[in-house]
This record gives sequence, structure tokens and C-alpha cells, in this order.
Amino acid sequence: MIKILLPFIFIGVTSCQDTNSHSADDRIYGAPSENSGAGEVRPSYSRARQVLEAYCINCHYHASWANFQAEKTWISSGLVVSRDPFGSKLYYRLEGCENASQGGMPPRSSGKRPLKNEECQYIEDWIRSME
Amino acid sequence: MKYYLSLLLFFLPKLGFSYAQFIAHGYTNCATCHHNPVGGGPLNNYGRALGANTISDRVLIPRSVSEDKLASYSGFFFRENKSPVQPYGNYRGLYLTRDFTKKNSKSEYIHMEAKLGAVVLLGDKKQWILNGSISYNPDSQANRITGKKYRSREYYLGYRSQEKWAFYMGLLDKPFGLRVPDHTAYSKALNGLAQDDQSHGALFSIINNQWSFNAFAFMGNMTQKAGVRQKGASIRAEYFWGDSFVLGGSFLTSSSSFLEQSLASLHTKFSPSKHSSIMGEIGFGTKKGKGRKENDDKNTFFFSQHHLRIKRGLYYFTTLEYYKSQLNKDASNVRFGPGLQYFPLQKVELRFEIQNARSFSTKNVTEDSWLFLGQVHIWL
Repeated sequence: MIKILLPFIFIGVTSCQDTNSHSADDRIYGAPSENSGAGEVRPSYSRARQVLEAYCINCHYHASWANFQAEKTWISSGLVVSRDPFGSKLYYRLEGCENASQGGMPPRSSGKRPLKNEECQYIEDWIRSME
Repeated sequence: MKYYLSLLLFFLPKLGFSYAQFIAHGYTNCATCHHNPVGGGPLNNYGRALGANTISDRVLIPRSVSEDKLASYSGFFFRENKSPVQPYGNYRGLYLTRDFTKKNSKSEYIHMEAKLGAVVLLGDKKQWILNGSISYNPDSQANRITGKKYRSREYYLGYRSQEKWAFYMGLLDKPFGLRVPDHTAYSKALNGLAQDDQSHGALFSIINNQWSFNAFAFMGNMTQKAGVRQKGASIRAEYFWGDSFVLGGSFLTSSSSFLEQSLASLHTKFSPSKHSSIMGEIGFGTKKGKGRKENDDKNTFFFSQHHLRIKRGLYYFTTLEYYKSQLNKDASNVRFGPGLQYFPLQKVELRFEIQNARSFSTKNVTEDSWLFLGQVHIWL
């Protein structure tokens, strides 16, 4: 019996996923100062992240944006081109940003207003400061 | 012995198949075909046999091969399932084209899952069920984030009594609402019931010919950060009128250090005519943040799907979904579209679907968003 159980226990312990729909609940629903151990966050990303959570993440559930915690994830997803905010889809689709070539996001139907200049700047600064 | 599975098909009460649509064939519940009484995961011998001689087309099979023969060779790699150790494999791939009506549309192929696992049946009546699996999913959103390529979405130790009750412990799906494979459905994706949302816990299940009851007490995914683990319980009860009408209700409540969530829904599935089915689910949910409040939700959702069998193995279906994320605002999302589902032979499923999605408000409507989805599903 033990011989049969061991492989299953091994599989369970070593390969179980640690990311799912609730992985970013600390950032979405926790108090702004709370951090459940995700590691140190650069101030520019922290500011940009708050804008993304307010305007983008709640609707873009299909792409699981809420799970995009590490900065590199935004790059690997294709939404952000490091150091190139105006060439990043995440930026050029924003509505209300002077240098955003396409706009349209968030859509009016979402009930959210276009971004303010300051909020656009947070996104721009973050992408521009990426390594 | 070779008629063993076909005899099972004849004598066992008609209770289920993973795809809820198969109420069109008289199957009201998942437990008959799956080792997990709430559906999903590996098929048992009965489910494999049903896939071979009822669900799948046999246009590629010589007439000299009987239905009994097809059923008896529905085990791993077309072998007979005689051993108490039953390996299984599962592959799902998706060809996805976004905004295919536009010139700059983009397509990608996603390996959703390549899974290998095994079920071990123990005990003199094979009443103990041990299941574990590991899958290769390089393209899942979660794995793109973490850099991992392998996941385990399900493993458990279960006991099924001959009196139709069952007790399972392990990493399991939460029983809630219609058990449909569309993990991107609003009712699943937005309520923490998607493809990666299994939870560690204990499941108690009662199933008979008239009703079923499932209760799952869960403690979250133990490999996650402790603070975000959703701990709670879900129940799902269904009542069967004959073998063609089901009415069910579900309730889920859970909380973590950051979020309290509750869900309730009613669902039905029925077969209005031979080999056709209609499924519907309507529900309500709340999400309350314990810190920030601006992302709190009081949402409502609706899912319906209609299937019609064109010929053996080939189904036409239409899907209609609705989601309103905040009841006090007028914005809502609607998605609908037709599709074809084809099982050309046992262990192979092809699915083609077009989805149109729009966001509505009283003042505005977004542009149409069009998706083409082509899926291949192979199970061994």
C-alpha cells in the first residue's frame, strides 16, 4: 500500500499549482499596505500596479491579468515592451493618455473614466524604467 | 469476459457523463462515468465504454467490429481495462484566433494540457480509488507567470460504497453548478471555478436514481500563500425526473485573509427530444474585500447551452452567456455563438466554435469581439 501511495504523494507535493484565480487577492482586495510575501516591489511598479488594478485588471479576467504579479510577466505576455511605453500595447490602448496611439481602454461601457495625466505617467514611467 | 463492459452498459442505471450535455442520451449525473462523483478527471470503465460505443462516430471502424468489441477495447491505448491499476492520458490543444474579422487578427496554438495519470482501485470490491496525475501545460497563464511547465490539477483518495455514497479527500474541483468543460465561461472564470481552481478538501457525495447531493469542505490550495487560500464549503444538490430532466441548486461560501466570497445558483438540464439537450444556469455572487472595497462585486451570471446531435458523434451547439459584474451599474457582458463538436472515433474529440462578445450599457455598446476556437482533445 505504501509503495502505491508514495508516487501519488510525490506528485501532489512536487507538482501542485500555486497560482490560480485567487493568487492576486492580496493586491486586489487587501489593504494597500498589505503584502503577503510577494517580495520587494519597485516603487514605479507599485504605482503603476495600482492604476492597472483600478482600470484594467478587473475586466481582463480572460487573460488572467490579476495573476500578473512579477514585472517580467507583463513582458512575457506581450503586453509590455521593456523601456518602450509607446510601443507597448498595455500603454497605447489606454484612453486619456496623450501618447497612446490607439486608446479605447477602459471602454465607456465599463463605467470607468479615461485615465488622468498623472496615471498615464505612472504607467509610462514604470515601463520606461524596466530592465 | 469480453462482454463485461457491454453488460455493464445495459444493467447499470443511467446516471451520467462528464459533459452535462449527455443528458441527451439519458445520463443525468457525472458519477457513472467518472471516478470522481462530481465529474471531471479520469473515466471509469463504464465511461470509457460509453465513449466508444455511444458517443463516438464509427465511420472509421469496419462493420465487422461489434459495439461490444469497441467497448471492450476502450482502455489505455485501446487495451482492455482488467488491471486494478488504470493509467490514463489526456491532451487538449486550442487553436485560437482573436478578432478574426479584422486584418490584424492574431492566431495562436495553446497546449492546454498534456496529462498522464493513473487510477488504482483497491479493496475486494474495488471500493477504494486512488488517483493522481501530472500534466504538461507550458502555455497556461499561471505557468507563464511562474515559469513552471508541469502541474497537478487533481489527486485524491476516495471510497465509494455499494450504497452509492462516497467520501473523497485530496485536491478536487469544487462542486458547483453545471459541470461544463468551458472553463472560460463567465460562470466559471469569474467565480473562482476555473481550470486551476481546485482546492484541497474533503468531499461527501450521495447519488441515487432520484437525486444527488455533494458537499465539499475545502481549505484552499495548500501550495499557495496562506493568506490567499479560500477556505469554505460548497454544496450541490440535484433532483432527477426520469432520465431526461434535472433541476439543481448550489451554494458556495469561502473566505481568505483578503476576500469573502459567496455564490448561489440554480441550474437545469433536460432533453426536450431524443439526442438533444438544453442546459441553463443562473446565479448570483458577492465578493467583499477585507481591505480595499473598490473592487467589491455583487454580480449575476447566466449560462445556457443547447446541443443537437446531427449524427452519431457529431453535435451542433449554441452557447449564450451573460454577466453583470456590479448590480448597481448598468454595464454588462454578453457572449454567444454556435459550434460543432465531433467525436470521429473513440478517444478523439474535435470542437469548433465561434464566439461573439460585447459589453453593454444604457449609453454605449462596445465593438464586437470575435473569437474562433478550434480544439482537439485526445484521451488514452
